[in-house]
Amino acid sequence: MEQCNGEYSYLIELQDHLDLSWSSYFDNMSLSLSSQGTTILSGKLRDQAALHALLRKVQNLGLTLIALQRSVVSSE
Amino acid sequence: MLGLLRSKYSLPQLNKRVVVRSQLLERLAHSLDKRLILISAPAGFGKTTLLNQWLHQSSHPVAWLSLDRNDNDIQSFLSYLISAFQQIQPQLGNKLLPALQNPQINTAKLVMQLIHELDTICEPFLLVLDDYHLIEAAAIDEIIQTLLKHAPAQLQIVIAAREDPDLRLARMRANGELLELRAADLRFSHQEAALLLQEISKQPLGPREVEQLTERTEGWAAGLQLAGIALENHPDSAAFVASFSGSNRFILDYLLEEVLQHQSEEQLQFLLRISLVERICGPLCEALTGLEPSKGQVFLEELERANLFIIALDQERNWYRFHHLFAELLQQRLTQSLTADEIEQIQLATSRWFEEQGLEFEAFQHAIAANDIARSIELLEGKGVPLYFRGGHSRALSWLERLEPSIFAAYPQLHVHYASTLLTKGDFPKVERELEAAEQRLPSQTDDPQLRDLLGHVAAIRATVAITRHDLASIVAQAERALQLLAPTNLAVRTSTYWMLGYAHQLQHQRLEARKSFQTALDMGLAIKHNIMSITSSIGLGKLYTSSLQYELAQQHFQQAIAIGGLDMPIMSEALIGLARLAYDQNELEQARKYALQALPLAQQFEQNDRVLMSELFLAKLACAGPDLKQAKKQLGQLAQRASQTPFAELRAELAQLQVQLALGQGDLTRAAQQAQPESLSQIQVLIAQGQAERALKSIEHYQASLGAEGWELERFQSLLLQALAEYELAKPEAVYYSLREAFHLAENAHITRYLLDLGEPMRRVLHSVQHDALLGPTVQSLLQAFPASTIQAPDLIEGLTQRELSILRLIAAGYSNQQISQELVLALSTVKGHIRNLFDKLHVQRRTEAVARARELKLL
Repeated sequence: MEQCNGEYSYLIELQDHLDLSWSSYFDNMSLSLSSQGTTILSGKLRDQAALHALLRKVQNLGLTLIALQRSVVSSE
Repeated sequence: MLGLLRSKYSLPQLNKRVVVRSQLLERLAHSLDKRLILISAPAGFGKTTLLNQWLHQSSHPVAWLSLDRNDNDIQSFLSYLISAFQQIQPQLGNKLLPALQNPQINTAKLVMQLIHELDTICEPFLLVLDDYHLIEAAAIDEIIQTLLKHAPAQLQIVIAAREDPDLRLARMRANGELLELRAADLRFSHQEAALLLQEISKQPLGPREVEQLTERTEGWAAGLQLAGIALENHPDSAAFVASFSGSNRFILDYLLEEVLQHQSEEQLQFLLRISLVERICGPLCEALTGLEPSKGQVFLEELERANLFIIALDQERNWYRFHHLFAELLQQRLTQSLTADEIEQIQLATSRWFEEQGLEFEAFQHAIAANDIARSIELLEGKGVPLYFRGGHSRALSWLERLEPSIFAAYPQLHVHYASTLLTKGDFPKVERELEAAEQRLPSQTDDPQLRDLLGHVAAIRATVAITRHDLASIVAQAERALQLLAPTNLAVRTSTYWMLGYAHQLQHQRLEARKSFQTALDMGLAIKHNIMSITSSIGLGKLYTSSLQYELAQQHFQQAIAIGGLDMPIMSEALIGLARLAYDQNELEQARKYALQALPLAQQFEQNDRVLMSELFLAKLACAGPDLKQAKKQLGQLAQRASQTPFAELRAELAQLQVQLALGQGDLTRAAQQAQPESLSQIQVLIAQGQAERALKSIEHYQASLGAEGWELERFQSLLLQALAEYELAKPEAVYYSLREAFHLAENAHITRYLLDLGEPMRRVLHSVQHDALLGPTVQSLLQAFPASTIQAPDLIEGLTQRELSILRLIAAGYSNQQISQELVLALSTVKGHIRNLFDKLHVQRRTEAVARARELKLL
């Protein structure tokens, strides 16, 4: 269930290395490249709607989605 | 409809240089027995191209539809769907198109009607829905589901999408009704890849290199095509392949860079600048790039030749679009090379260009993309008639739904537009919230004409909400407030406000006021071509002129409504029933039947069934006028059951009236008395038939006093006829004469004969009594001829029977004793005996049994 008080942080792993310039296209999530030839998008997303919008962009580019993980943002 | 783009429902042009995918084509060609073909794969797998190849080879007729996000609006979707089918059969669904402009339409019924029309296509045919993943509306999935289930067997549906549609695929799969081509099927084999790379790059490639490229792209068409283009310009293909294969970079990033490197800086800029538009043509290209006239077309054709993912949408090569995937890539690069501000300038230029072409939807969409709120609002408001009244409803709504609150705060009129667009969704609490928000931000008293106009629009929207609640007082109050405040130039809102006012007045029985309001709404509606308003006002006037016995005017207005909207609009059922009524009253029964039969199928297109009941009621009325009364009775009985839950009082009143008429015609006084509504003319008619003429006259007096001076001529006319009947029973020939004279005077311009005929034998006797009058005689004699021959009295009956004598005769026939008759009719026994004596004399009989037999012979019973 969606928690209304806490944002979640997401890790989204895509096949291949994306140029770092794609960060702004993906809601300014940070982009890091793994040694296994994958790209990891990470960052906070407001809610499920934002997550689905982002996945839609992944779909639009024909990128291959490998993994998706969510974690609670630790309160600072 | 604005912006209905032909290219959406024409098959895209086939690029001659694509690789023929024989294996896949074979599978498609051999799956004609499958109900659904689903091509489901990510972007860039060549779904559209494969379909295109197949369809250009296939001999079957094709309805093609390229979907986009705006097609989530069900009415827009259905319009395009019908346009697509019309590529196979030009007239198909024409009758359904007008119905789509009406928000009250029952789409499920409409789809069934469409399916019915598809039956007329005799050979196997295809419906192709490309980019179906853009459809999110469940209602549209539902339509496709209905087509899959009910459409004729010769229809095969083909869907191409990036994700599986929500269409109960598992069941179809299990039943063997589905052919699926998925990513694994669409991947290019080594051989196919070799052909593609060869075709595009014009470079000889070794099998090893082809293999490497195929492995690296995993047979992904977009990757291979881009690799081909990159190779074309690469001096050392082996080195290119090696370096590409060794790279971990996203294929499109890598290849696009390769490709774009070889474009001139100018070309690159042009390419990026035109990447934002959904569809592009030469002149638009010039407007965005600054190219000289006619150079835009040249540029686009060059792109096509260079295989740069651009697709010609029509045979004349006027309109093109980028492959969505490529457009996405270019747009991303655009955001890298230009500032947000510069990009907004491009969007603005695009919006201006579309506006100049009169393509307001596109102009609006790009103004939104340019983040130019003021301009977006200006386009939304249109010149006089807002975009959302002209087919742009879902676009307006989806924009307003995602606007930030701060923008509403800066432009309070947006609350009003939002409320107006929410009306059709039926979300009235939300409408009210928006109106309140608008009022909070607007001064309640102001001299500023623009603000006053907005406040007027707020009141007009409240009046519309009041209509749905049937709150007549509130409709009038809000509409009058609206008219005080609205700008004189705001004809769009003024027109509908006048119509609402007319509607409320009509229901409040203020017919003169109603007439004035409808007339104004009609005049304005015609001036600004607001067709729906002109039509409904015309029909309203037609009904009012019917009530005032101005039949010629009534007819003109019903016919005007038809002339404006054409006979295919569902609302015309009302105009046709109006015409049927006029014809009926003038005893042109065949004509009346034709109109009513035409009205029925139109009425059936509405969600609510009141118009259907009205049409059927009218057909039953015609049956009551015909020879087969048993059938008529059956029809009425069935209708009464179905109409029992209807909230439409007018309908129930008319039904009751018909039932009374029928019962009286069959001599069934008890049933007639049961059916008559209190205080109705029917009830008075029953009183007369029961021999209670005195009471009847009192009721008539009461009834007439309740009628307005003008606009109620029809009701007055009917009551005068009943008055004459009652007066005849009371043997007041002079009074009969005056009542008839007044009635005929009222109906001077209406040639009504049917009302008299429907009053049956009693009316015939009344007319008979005045047929030799100098003034009334000629009219009456021609009327008498219209009565059916069977009820004309036998010549050997010296004197006609009075109503009282007839009632007694019927009771005798029913086996009543004299005592029972006196109780039933509340008469002294001696009076009953006196009537019976007279009755026997007139019939030349001695006994009760003889009287009954003789009466049957004379068809008095």
